[in-house]
This record gives sequence, C-alpha cells and structure tokens, in this order.
Amino acid sequence: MSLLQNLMLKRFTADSYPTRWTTALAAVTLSLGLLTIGGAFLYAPTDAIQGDVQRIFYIHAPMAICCYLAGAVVALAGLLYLATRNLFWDVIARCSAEIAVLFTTLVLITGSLWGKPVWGTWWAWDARLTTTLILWFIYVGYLMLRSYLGEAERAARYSVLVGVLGALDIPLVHVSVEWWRTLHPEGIIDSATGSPALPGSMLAVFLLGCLTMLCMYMLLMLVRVRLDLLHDQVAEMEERSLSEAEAVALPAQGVLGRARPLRSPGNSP
Amino acid sequence: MQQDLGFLFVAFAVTWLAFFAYLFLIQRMLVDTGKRLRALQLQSLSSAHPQPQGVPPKE
Repeated sequence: MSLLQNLMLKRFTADSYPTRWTTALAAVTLSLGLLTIGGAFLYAPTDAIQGDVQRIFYIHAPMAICCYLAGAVVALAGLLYLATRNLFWDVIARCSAEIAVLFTTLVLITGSLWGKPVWGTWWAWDARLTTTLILWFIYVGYLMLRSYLGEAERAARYSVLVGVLGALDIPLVHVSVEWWRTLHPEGIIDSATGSPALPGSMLAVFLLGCLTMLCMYMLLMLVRVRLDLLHDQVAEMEERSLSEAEAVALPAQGVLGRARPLRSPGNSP
Repeated sequence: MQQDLGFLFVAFAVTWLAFFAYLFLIQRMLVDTGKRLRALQLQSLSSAHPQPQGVPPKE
C-alpha cells in the first residue's frame, strides 16, 4: 500500500467524515462558484452578437477543460498502474473516468442549451460536437468494460487501453474546430497571434470559472477516491471474515458428515 | 430575449444541481460504507476476543 493510500485510508476511517480538507475544499469551491455566477451575470459584458445566452460560456468552456484534465488523469493513472502494478493508480483512473463522464455530459447538455438559441438547433453533427460525443462514449465504455470484467486486476489492465484511447481523442476534440469547418466557435486563444481572443473582463470571469471547475474536479475526486478505497477495505474485511467462518465451519461439517450416512440423489425415496 | 435568459438559467441550474446531486450520492454511499466497515471491525474484534464461557456479557 502506498504512502498516499495509507494516509487517505487513515484519514477517512478515523470516523471523521467529512474531513477538514474536504470541507475546506467544498467551501472554497462553493465560494468560487458563487463568484463565477456573480461575475458571469453582473460583471462580464453582454455579447454584442449572441446576447445574454453567451454567458453559458463561463461554465461550458471551463467544464470542457476539466473534461480534458479528467481524461488525461485516466490515461496517466492507467499507465502508472501498468508501470507499478499498484492498484491505487487504478482507483484514481476509474474515479477520474466517472467524473469525466459527468463533466462531458454537462458539456454536451450546456452546449445544446447554448446551441438552440444561437444556431437554432439542439444538435448538429459538427466536428467538435461529434468528437466530444465520441469522448463521452469512450468514458461510458470504459466504465461498462470495468463492470463487465469484474476482477480488479484484469479490469485495471484492459481498461488502460480504453483510457489511452480517450486521451488520444482529447487533442482531436481540441483541434477539430481548426481542422474542419464547424458551427462551433474557435478556441479562446487566437491561433494566429497566440493571445486571448477575449476582452479582459470576459477573460477574468472565464479564468475564475476554470478555477471553480478545477476545484470541483479535485473535490469530486477526493470524495470518490475515498469511497473506492473504503469499498476495497470493506471487501477485504468481508473476504477475511468469510474465510474465517469457513475455517470454523469445515471441521464441524466433517463431524456431521461422519455422523450422517451419505445419500446420493438417485437413492432418495 | 426572455427565452435566451431561460436557456441561460437552465444551463447554470442543471450544472450546479448535477454537481450537488453527485456529491450527495457519494456522501450517502460514504456514510453507508463507513457504517458497514465499522460493523465488520466490531465483528472481527468480538470474534478475536470471545467472552469467557459462563460469564454473562456486560450490558
């Protein structure tokens, strides 16, 4: 068991949930979230073309960035698992995949809610939207594969491949707006000049949104990883108590077996 | 314009509600798993230190 894993288990099983760190991070995330909402509605200027609905950008784009981050963590932790065979990295990978599904789902939903008033449609088979949907399917597939494979080490080994596939799709999602002609607007960094293509006030709220979503990702990871480690601990204890019970029951069965005559199903009256 | 604001509010509400719902579910599962773990720990402690025969357990 790694040092980090020991620390997390010790902290959690000390019967003190929610721990100080989790509570502090939750408070910071909530405060930043309120600031982002305030900034998006009150501070950032209204977009001249799209109007107020453009303010969805301040949660949509930061969530998309966190989705990239979650995907990168899935692949990196998976590869670390393969290198070290430490199941803690696998816990990190599977928790991050679940959170990647949550973020990608929200990106697709908020994108649709933005697309309807601006493009006049909920969905278009546009390069950015399609590659993002593929990313969503990859992470849902990752979680399904794990649940079908069952056994922890086998599931960990095979799912690394899907995690890496997801990580390969991330750059494709990012550059899709430059490679293909799409409805989706280009990124906030101007590819020609390399500087942000946003006015200062919009950029400030966007960066605040990114910080909020980063804290949200860390908070979700913190609680989700703890849950998985705790589940593993419960499973281990259950297995141990079951083997102890079997060890006690087996001699007793042996005594009973000698006392009672064996009867095959064919001889039963 | 009002319809646009509706989309905007729904987007923010859906996002934050999803995060809170996920956190709530995980927290519930954490509490339940914590209880299960404590029960198993108590069980293993009591099996490791059984009461002597003939002595009634303490209330």
